[in-house]
Amino acid sequence: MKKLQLLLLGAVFFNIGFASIPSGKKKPSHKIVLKTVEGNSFRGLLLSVNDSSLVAYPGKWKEWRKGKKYRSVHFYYTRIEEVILKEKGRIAKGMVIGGVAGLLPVVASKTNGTSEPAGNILLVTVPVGIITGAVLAGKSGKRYWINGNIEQFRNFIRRLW
Amino acid sequence: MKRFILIIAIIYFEVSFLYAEDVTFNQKIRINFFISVRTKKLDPAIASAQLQARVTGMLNKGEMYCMFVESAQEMADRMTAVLKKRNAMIGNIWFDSHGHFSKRRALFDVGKDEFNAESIMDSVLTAPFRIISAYSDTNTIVGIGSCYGGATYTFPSVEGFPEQQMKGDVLMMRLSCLLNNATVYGSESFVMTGPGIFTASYNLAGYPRRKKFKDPIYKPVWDNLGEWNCYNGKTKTFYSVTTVTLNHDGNIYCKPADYLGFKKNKQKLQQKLLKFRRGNFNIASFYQEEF
Repeated sequence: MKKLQLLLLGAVFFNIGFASIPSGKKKPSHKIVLKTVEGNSFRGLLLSVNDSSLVAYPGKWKEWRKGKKYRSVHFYYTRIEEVILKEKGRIAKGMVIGGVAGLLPVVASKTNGTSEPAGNILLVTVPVGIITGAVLAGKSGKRYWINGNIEQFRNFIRRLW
Repeated sequence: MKRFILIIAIIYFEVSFLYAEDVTFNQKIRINFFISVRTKKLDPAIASAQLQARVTGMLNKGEMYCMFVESAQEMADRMTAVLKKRNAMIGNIWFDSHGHFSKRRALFDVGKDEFNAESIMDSVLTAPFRIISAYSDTNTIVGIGSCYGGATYTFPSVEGFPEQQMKGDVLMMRLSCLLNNATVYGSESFVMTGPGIFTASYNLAGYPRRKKFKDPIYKPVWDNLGEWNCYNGKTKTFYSVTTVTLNHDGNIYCKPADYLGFKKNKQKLQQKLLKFRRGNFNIASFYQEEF
């Protein structure tokens, strides 16, 4: 009997644990661009997601790092039309990938056996690759359509975690 | 006969003595002031206005003083030092600052101190204005150089935030009362700081190019482009005026025609309004004001 009671207690706590992401998770990992059903746009940082709403910080990374105290904003799923999540550090990743891609022409020219010095090619392709990588990464983001629908919101949570 | 002439002479000198005193008081020199915020942040709009003010101040030494201050108290201390030394009155005073549309009320900043229709009733916050009011009278002209500083329209309801009166008229009236019934000008719309703000032209009017201002939330601002309001403290009347400008001495006055009175400006505005799109403005700034 005692074992059964303990098991039941464990089951209850286990379920509560999955009902919401722990609010102790203070560091946001994504920038969020949220479009409401009224058509307005909210840009901030995603703090946490519950089974029917999400919580966001209405500021930028710079403000978060400086510790600027803004009250967190709750968006209930019925108000959300679309969510775009942008991962932290994506621009740096994009620059690295772009820089590596900029090295490829050098590798290609060496395999083809062309005589053009590698330095000349690198001076052009690497900076172009870095800039292109940064721009594309900056514009990228995972898009989730919610349309005020609970099922779509739950799909979003599942795909997120 | 001699006694008669003596009496006439005494009356004449007494009257002319009294008249001379009035003339001397009325002819007390007037100095113009340009007040802006001293900030370490790189802000192109503020920097442009401050640079132009510095150059104008240098070219008009003694007529216009530009002061970059961190607080209203510093403004009062520096202004009274100058006015006492020169034994002068305030002619024109221009408060250059940003307006904050997301705060949903008309306001202007003097350094870190914000003045809106409510905070201007705070006797502690407005103590510096009472200090400089000793040098202000009905001939003093005040310009609120912040965007929507004289706005009288209602801020529309957005995302659960209720609609709210901007109360620019209340702000102007209370500021006028603080400064001994000075005349106060405030803008319903944007106040620009591009090159040439001291050239008596329409350069204070216009619109910003940034995408965030092309959102339907800003429609009341765009509809009132170049429109200014005036509160005359002497006659206690509030009315609309044509577009306000500054001349090379820092004097504030109204242009003969409105900014939107010109056909090309109106056409440009119509074209801009067609490109408005909901979502250009970040509503997170509304939530940043809540504590």
